[in-house]
Amino acid sequence: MNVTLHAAPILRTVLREQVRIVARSLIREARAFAAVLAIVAVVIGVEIFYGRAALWFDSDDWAAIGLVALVFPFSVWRRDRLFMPAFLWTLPVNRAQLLYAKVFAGWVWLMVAFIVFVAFQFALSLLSGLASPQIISFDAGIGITALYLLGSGILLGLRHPLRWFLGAAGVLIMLGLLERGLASGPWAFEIFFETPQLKSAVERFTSAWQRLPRFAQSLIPNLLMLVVGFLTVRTAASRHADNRRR
Amino acid sequence: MSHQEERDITGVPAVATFALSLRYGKQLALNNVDLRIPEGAIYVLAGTNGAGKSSVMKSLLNLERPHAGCAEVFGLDTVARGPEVRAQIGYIPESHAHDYGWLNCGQLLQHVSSFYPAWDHAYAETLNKAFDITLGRRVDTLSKGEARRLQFVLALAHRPPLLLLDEPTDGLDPLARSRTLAILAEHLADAPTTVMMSTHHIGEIESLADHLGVLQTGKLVAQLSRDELRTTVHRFVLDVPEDWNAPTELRSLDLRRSRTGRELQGTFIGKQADVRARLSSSGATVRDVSAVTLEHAALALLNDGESRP
Amino acid sequence: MQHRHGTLVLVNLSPADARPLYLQIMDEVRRAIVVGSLRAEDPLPSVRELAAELVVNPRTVSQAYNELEREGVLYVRRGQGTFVSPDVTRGAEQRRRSQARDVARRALLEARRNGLDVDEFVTMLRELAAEEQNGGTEAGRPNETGDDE
Repeated sequence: MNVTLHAAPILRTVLREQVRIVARSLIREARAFAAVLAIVAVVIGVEIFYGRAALWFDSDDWAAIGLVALVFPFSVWRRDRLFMPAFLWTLPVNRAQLLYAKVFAGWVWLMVAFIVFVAFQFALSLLSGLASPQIISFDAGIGITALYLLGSGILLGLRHPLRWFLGAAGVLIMLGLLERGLASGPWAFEIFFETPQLKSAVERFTSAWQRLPRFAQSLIPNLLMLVVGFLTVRTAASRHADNRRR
Repeated sequence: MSHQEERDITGVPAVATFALSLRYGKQLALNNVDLRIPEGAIYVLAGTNGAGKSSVMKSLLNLERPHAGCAEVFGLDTVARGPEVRAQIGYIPESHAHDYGWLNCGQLLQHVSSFYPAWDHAYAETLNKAFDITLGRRVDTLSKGEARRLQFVLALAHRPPLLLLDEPTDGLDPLARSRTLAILAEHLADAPTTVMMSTHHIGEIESLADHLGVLQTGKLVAQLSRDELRTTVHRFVLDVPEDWNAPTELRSLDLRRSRTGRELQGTFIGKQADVRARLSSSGATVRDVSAVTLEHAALALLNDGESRP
Repeated sequence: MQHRHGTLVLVNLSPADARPLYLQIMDEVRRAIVVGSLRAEDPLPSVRELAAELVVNPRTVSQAYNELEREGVLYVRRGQGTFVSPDVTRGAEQRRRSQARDVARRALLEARRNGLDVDEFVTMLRELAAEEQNGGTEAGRPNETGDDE
């Protein structure tokens, strides 16, 4: 008998299917998002009706949005067991590619949500007539993407991402407490920063930074974060790669 | 990428492992396993729980990474060419639960189908009917039997050249078992397929299987084809003197003696004429010789492996 | 199974039978021809159907059909399936004899296994046959030796 070997799927098919299945798995999140927007719309509507100022969102809130982007991967990958003989890894697809495809699919929907959010905010600003429409900077999208990638990398690369998250938070809090408790006395890092060479290097860097144009000042850190995000995802993907030997 | 790849794989075994070893922590799950499954074989892997049957299948899918040795599927290395290898495989895992239990059956079938260019939608529909799948049911609300049947559709619908079935009839009621095996037999008649299956119910695939491998705590203690089994493993009934002992040069399995000590039954390994001659010269009278069933052979070999160091 | 248009041949396989399965299938087809349940030009079930029905390896069924084709018992019509040869009646007498020999050989084996002398066994056979013909009541009695034909 003649056996014809079967082919693996092409990348485009895998991408399309991941975008589709991630959408299906995020239906609950999408509903919650819509509900939040609806509530906000009602509240703002009432405020506008009574003629009160209705600027409900200002630039400080981007921190909250960033946090959402950071934990969003937990929603995208909720259904997959990553470090066990998982269904995902039985599929005839290069595992690193499959992982990238799914990260990409999650990003697509994150961006859709972002655009909806921006449009919503824009519409409300126009309606309230009080605030001038904020121009949403291009690099907000980059920042969100970077945080999303960072979150994905942490989630996919670590066997116990939640423990790492909590652990890191714990360490930070401990450090804060320590600093408060022992406020006096020079600390190791203070001594480190007092080194003259370092001090002058820092000063030179700051002055160079301030001479940069404004857009660059916000773009560069975002791009740097994006690179870090990519690298974490890449590192995570290598943990799941097909040819990774024990 | 072409839809289907033409490669000359004449004479290449469907599955070959080379001194494959697998460790879970300190425990050795597979120990120097040299499996050979010829193309087109229906190979049954027997062994007690934890003998390593599932581990073999998982390492073929590269779900478990070998600690030493390697494995090939149709000549493709399972680690270096994992995606291609997995494209050849239909897999029914031991577990009935599915990671994507939140989908309904139809959605899951659709999702999985997109990963197999060879997926035959018409055949999938036929299988859905044959296995009585309700497409609208959520996968995680299915009973064990229903989940198993769905897994059969998922594994068969792309007509994979290699099927890995880990306890495939587990969870099925007796009627569903026989139906499922009949569908499997039909499937095998339609497409050239190699099957590797593990089961605790060897009796029910007695006439389906043509190769037997016996795993004992991670070691492959026996591997033989049906024909080899027929010519080299026999069950003997003997009349023996009371102080008779089996000739040491004969490999015998599960010998049982009547209470009087004058009748003895047992399985002997070797060419029948040869065994007969040796038994006669040792003073035993051969009263009956019969072929053994696959199930009997598996049990005898397992018992034997257990009693030897 | 979802499509079953009546069983075409009643094939019974015995797991206790020492002979290879394809030989058993061949014997069953021959038996069906001898007893007349299969006649010249009758269609046989496809390999697929018979494999599914018996839950045997389709290769085993193919092997049996191929052997029977070689012996001239069956023939293949392209695209239509396998049929009983038109001249199957020609060798019928010879086949009947060889089948009788087969049955006798198995019976003899069973007799020896039970420590019976050949003459004693043959005499007993005749006695039994005579009893069944005369009385008829004995015919329905369960068989003591077990599951032979």
